[in-house]
Order: sequence, then C-alpha cells, then structure tokens
Amino acid sequence: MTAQDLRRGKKKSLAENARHTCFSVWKHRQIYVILFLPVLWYIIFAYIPMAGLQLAFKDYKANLGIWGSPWNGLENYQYVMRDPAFFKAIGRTLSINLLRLVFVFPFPVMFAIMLNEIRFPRYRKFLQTVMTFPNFLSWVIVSSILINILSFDGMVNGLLSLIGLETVNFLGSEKLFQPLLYMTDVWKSSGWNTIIYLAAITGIDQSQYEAAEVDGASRWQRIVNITLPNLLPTIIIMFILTTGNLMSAGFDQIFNLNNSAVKEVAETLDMYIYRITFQSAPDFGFSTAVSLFRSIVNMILLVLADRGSKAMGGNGLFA
Amino acid sequence: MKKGKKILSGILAASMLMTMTACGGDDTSSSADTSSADNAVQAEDTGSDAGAQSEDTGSEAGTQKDYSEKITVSWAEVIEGDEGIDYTQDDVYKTVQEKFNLDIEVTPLTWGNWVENLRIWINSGDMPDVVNWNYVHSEFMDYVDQGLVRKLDDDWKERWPETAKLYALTGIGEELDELLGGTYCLPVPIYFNNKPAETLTQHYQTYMRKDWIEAVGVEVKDYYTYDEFLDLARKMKEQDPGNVGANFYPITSYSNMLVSGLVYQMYEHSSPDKIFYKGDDGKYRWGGADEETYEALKWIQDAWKEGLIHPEFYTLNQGEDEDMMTIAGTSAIFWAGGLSSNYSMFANEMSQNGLNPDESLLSAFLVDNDGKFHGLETANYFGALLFNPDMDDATFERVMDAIEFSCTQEGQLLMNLGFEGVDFEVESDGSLKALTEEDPLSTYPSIRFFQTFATRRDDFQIINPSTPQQYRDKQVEQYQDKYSLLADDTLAKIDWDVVFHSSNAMNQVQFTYPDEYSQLIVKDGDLRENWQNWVDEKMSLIQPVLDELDAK
Repeated sequence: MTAQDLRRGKKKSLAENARHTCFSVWKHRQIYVILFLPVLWYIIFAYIPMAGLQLAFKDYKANLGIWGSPWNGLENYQYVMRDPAFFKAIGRTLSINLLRLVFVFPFPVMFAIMLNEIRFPRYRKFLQTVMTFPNFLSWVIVSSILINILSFDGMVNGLLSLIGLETVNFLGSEKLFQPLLYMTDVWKSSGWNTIIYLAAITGIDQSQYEAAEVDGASRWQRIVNITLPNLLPTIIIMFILTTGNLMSAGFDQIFNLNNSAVKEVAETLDMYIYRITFQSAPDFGFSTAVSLFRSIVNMILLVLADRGSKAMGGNGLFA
Repeated sequence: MKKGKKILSGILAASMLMTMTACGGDDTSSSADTSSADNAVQAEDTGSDAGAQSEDTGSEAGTQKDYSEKITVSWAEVIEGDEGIDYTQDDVYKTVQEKFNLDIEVTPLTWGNWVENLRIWINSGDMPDVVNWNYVHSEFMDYVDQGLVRKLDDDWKERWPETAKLYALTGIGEELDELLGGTYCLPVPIYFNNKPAETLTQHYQTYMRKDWIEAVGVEVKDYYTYDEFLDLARKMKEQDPGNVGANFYPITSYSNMLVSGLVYQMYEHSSPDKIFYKGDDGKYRWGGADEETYEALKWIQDAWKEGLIHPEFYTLNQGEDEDMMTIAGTSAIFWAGGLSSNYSMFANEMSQNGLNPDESLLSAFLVDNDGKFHGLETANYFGALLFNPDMDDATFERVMDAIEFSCTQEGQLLMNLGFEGVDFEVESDGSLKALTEEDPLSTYPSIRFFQTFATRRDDFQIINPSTPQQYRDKQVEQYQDKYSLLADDTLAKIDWDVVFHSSNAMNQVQFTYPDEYSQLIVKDGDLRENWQNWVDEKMSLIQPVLDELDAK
C-alpha cells in the first residue's frame, strides 16, 4: 500500500466520521437544541472572557484595552509575591473551605436520607419547603438578620443576660467567625443541595429495598447498605466539584458577614482580589494575576480529586 | 404661597433675563471685576460670561454663545438626603436648566459607595460625563496616563475666569498644572469667600449631650483634653444621667469617625493623609509604625474594654451613631463634620424628639493633655471634578458655563438658597436674610445637588441665613480655636512630594486605615504584639514606598 493509498483511506475515514457525526447530531437534534443556549452562555460568558487572562502578564491601560496594553512579563506576580496578605489569604481560603467540606458538605446528604425516611408525604414536603426556602434569601438579608440576632443587644445576648450568663461578642470575635460561616451556610444552602441527593435516592431501584425488607433488614441497615452505596456516585461527583472550588467559594457570604473587627480572618482569596481591585487604587493586571493563580490551583485540585476518586475505585468527572 | 413664589420667581427670572441681556456685551475682564470674591453679596453681580440665557446670547471674551441646542449631561456626585428624590422638578433646577438649556441627569452617590462606584465606572469606561470624585493622586495619575479623563483646553482659565479663581485657591490646582503641563481635573474648593482660619485643619469634632455633661458635674467647654474627655465618659457611664441602663455606652461612632476623631487626632501621622512624612533625620517614615500610633490605639482599646465605647462600633454605619444620640437618646458622644449644617441638623433632630438643643447639644473638639491641638494641614479642596474624555466639546463647554455660573455669587445664592425676594434678601450691610422659615433643601431639593456642584458647601454655610447664626459662628470658631491651639510640632503640614508620589508600590499601600486600626483595637490578645505583627507585615509593602520617597 502506497502512502497515497493510505492518505486516501484516511480521507475516506475522516469523511465517514464527519457524516457519522452529522447523522448523530441530527438524530439527537432535540438534545442539541436544548444544549444550544447553555453552550452559548458558556462561550460568551466563560470562554471568550478567558482572553482577558492575558492581563495577568500585562500592564493594563484602559485606553489601550486588553489587547493593546503592553506586556510586562511576570511583574504582576512579583508584586503578588511581595504581599504577605496574599499568602495569608491562600491559607485562610483553604482552611475555611476544607473545614466547610467537613462541617457543611455532609449535611445535605444527611437531610436527604432523613427526608427520605419520613413516612408522611405532606410532612416531608413541608419540611423540604422550609429547608429549601433560605436558599432564596440573599446573603445581604441573611447577614442583616444575623447581625440583629447576634449583636450585643440582640436576641441571643438578651437571652444570655436573662439567664444570668455573660454576653458574647459574636460579630467581632475572630474565633467565632468561621463557625458562624459554617452554621449559616448549613442553614441557607443545605436544603437546596438536598434536592440533588433526593433525586438520586428516587432513582434507586425499589426492588433492593423490597428484598432487604423480605430479608428482615432494619431501617438503619437499609440506609447503610442500600441508600448510602447508591448515593455514593452522586456524593463523589459533588465532592469533586466542591474540591474544584476550594480556592474560591463563599464570596457573597463572607463579604456580607465581614466587618473590620474580623477583617483578618475574613480575607479569603476572593476578598483579597476584591480589595485589591475595587477598594484601593485599581491595578487590573495585578488582580488578574491573582485570579489566574486561583483558577489554576482550583483546576489542579479538581483534577487531583478526580484522579483520587478513580484511584480509590470510585467515579470521576472525566472519562 | 406656592403661587406667590411662582409669580415672584417669574418676576425674578424676567429681571435676570434683562440683567443678563444688559451684560451680554461684557468682556472677560469685566466679568472678573464684577465677581469679586469678597463677602459682600450683590444681587446685580451677574457679570460672569456664564450668565447667558437659553436661546439667547451671553458673552465669552466678546463672542456670542448659542444655547439653542438642548444638551443633556450625566453627573454623579455624593448627595446627602433621602433616596428617590427627583432633583429636576423644582424651580432652582429649572432656572439652571433654562439658563443653559441644559438637562442634568443626576446620579446620586452616598459616602459609603462613591469611591468604589466611581473607581469602577472610570476604569471600565462607564464614567458619567462629569463626576465629583474623591481625589487620590496615584489613581489620578493612572487616569491621566490612560486617557480616562478629559484634558481641559489650555485657555480654559481665560474662558472661565471665576472657575479659574477658585481653582487657584485650592492650593493643588497650580501644582498639578505644573506637574502635568495642563489641567485634567478641577479640585473642588472648600473655602473661597469665607475662609475661617489662616490654616485649615480637620473639621470633624464631637457632638455631645450637653445636659448630661452638666448632670455628671463636668464643665461645659469648647474643647477637652484627652484625660478630661476620658473622665467625662467614665462619669457618664457610672452615673448614666439618661437612665439608659446596662446597654449605655457613652461614646458611639462608626469605625471611620471613631478612628478619625481619636487615632488621627491623637497622632497626626497615623492619618493616611500624613502617614508618610519626613523625619528629623531627613528620611521618610511611615507613621503606622510609630510608637505614638500604638499609644493612640491603646488609649482607645482601654476605653473600649472599659465599656466607654460602643462594643460593636465596627458594625455601625454612618448615621446610625448620630441617631443613637439625637433620636434614640442611648448614647452621649459621637463625631461628625464641624459644619453648621450638621450642627443645625442634629439640633433639629433633638428638637423633634422633645429636647431643647440649646440645653442638650454641645459641639467640642479634643486637644492633647498639654493643651495643644494636633492638626492635619488640609489643602483647600475636597474631591475633584473629572470629565469624561468622550464628552463632545459642545457639552463640555455648556457644563463649564454652568460651573462658571456656580462660582459666581449669583450662582452661589441661587444654588444654596433659592431666589432673592422669595427665599432671601440682601441687607444693606451685605449680609443675607432668610425670608422664609422653610429649609431651602425642602423647598428646592435640587439644592442638595447644586450646593456641591463645583464647590463644597462649607463656604456658603458660614453666611447661609437659613442656618441659625449660633451654629454658623460655631463653625468658624472651631477652626479659629484649633488654629490658635496648634503648635509647630503638632501640625502635620502638606508634603507635596508625598501627595504627588505615584507608583505601583504607592498604589499597593492604599490601605483602609479605619478598618486596619479598628481591627487592632478589638483583636484578642496583647495589643503591642498584634500591632507589631501588623507593622511587620505591612513593612514589606511600605518599605519600597519609603525607598522611592527617599530617592526623590
């Protein structure tokens, strides 16, 4: 077989592939139509703006624009590395989000299982509605409520005084700031996140439960041996996605609960980026350099979590 | 009443029209002459070239001005007052609108959001045509460098002489011209006709419950030493003259004002305005690392721990602190600007809550225990007007005409008081007399916008007849008292080398000092250790700036 024959064969193969792809797209056209808008959204709002990442290596000048601004190599990173607040922000972000994985992540799973075990459908729906509602409140509202409840003359301190206990400085205590983050996060978002796990539970083959019941398995045994193993793939996917956000989650929450007393423990990487971008003389190159760093670390964490999951025999995000 | 006002407004507008037409042929020099910057108020003093009428002609160095084309301009500035007010419906606005055939789309900002909003708008190219911007030199240089702000024509001072006069009084204007080789902003002058003291210093001061001071047996004074002030707060806390109860904390101010009123007051080089200064050895220093800053922080922390300062002052917003004293009656002391309008506003609030302000309200400032006042020399400007570089020339010129008008006495009167014969009259000695008891701000909401149009309202406050004389006197006295108590070693003077220093390193040290200091005050643990750690951490960013300044 000559090289020409090989090329012709490859051409034929490529043409066939293209035809096959077109056929497949046409066959599943409804799905592609549904996908069109989300993909367009991602292209416009996620992929095209990525071109702006070049600012991390440029001295941005508004009049020259992103493309016209002069390159400055790694100068922005030299400034970043000079700022101790940057390294503190990294450590703080990781610490807050790792503890969030420990204290917040399990709650939706537990709530989903508990809701699934409730026998009265109306009561279950009522509970689910009550638990889901806080998700629709903005952090601005949640933090206002919290400040009113926890202030020195708020409800909690009022009760403490009433029973003769010392009042607590909830809002200005650096030690209490992180626990407050976790508690409010659980209260606000666990109900909503429960929906995903409830959907996964709904998909479990009911014959497994029926067989277990015939075998005399207790409710606890059914949860441990049927519900949880079936939920595991969903839990792993959610865990991987959460890990991929370890360097960035929770800006709204921290921004609104922040005050100058807890400024030091509240300055996560997002808050740091916000501060250097909008609260001091703006240097978009500098801010983009930090953002790019954060994104790269997030991506590495995501891939590591995916690989780790697969290494342990679980599912992963990527094929 | 309203109808009467309208008729009188109409008569006034007609008479102004005739006056302007008569002045239409005046040249520039006569404009300058007739708008002298003394205190005498002359209603006829309308010789500015800005005094042109819509669809009519004015003068500008002998040339005719055509205002036949309607122009709309967007304008953003801080406006104190309730949200949702339409500033374009009252007669003052309409007079300005008709005078220049100019529609102004006002974007009101608050003290809480103006810095951040303007920064975002300017940097993203979404800047309104005109913004009244918080002047930060390093940022300004960036804006100029990037072409984000409009350069004024080289002959602007000849074309708009009244504006140029006030520009010269700001202190910074001419310096900037020399530095940049042209004008890129108009710093907003604070005082021009009624400067209260030779050297301007910080104007914020305490507002206190006078009746409670007397009730705890402390002398009522115009100023207190730190020890006297602490003693006063302690006595109030112990005796609780207002029967507030366990939650009574005499000193209540939000972070920014508490830090300004105490930390900056106790040590002038702790203030961001003067934090970089030249030491005795000729080398630049950073005041944050000075022992005096630590001592000021320690003084406040001790008072806070003792329960003399609101336990959660860091969660308070501007206004909440004053409400606690003037409306709720749950605190005794807060800090605010020493303007007669502030004094008057707090007095009104107290009156509405059944208190006699003459007996219950005191305004005082603090001095060191040796009786000296620690002052920050203040340049005669606050903020600056920036112009969008994309604004067309016709719009820019119309805006400048309106600004020119605001700098004349006619403009000042209209934009601060309303209409002569309706709202005020000029006495034979040149002073002003209010003709109505109504607050001009209520009658003409647009005054809230116009009174800081291109000048600060501080100047006119001193002669504003709608504010009681005693409060106006107080505004002047506090400046004069502070000035008389200043010593050479307690006045931090303006160092233009620092003000005009611009670099990436300088940009990186634009910390929010009220937050930084507040955090140190309330942080658990030993203050000295916390402060030292804070200094050590900051020095990695500060040192390059000090090196740059020393190398100048």
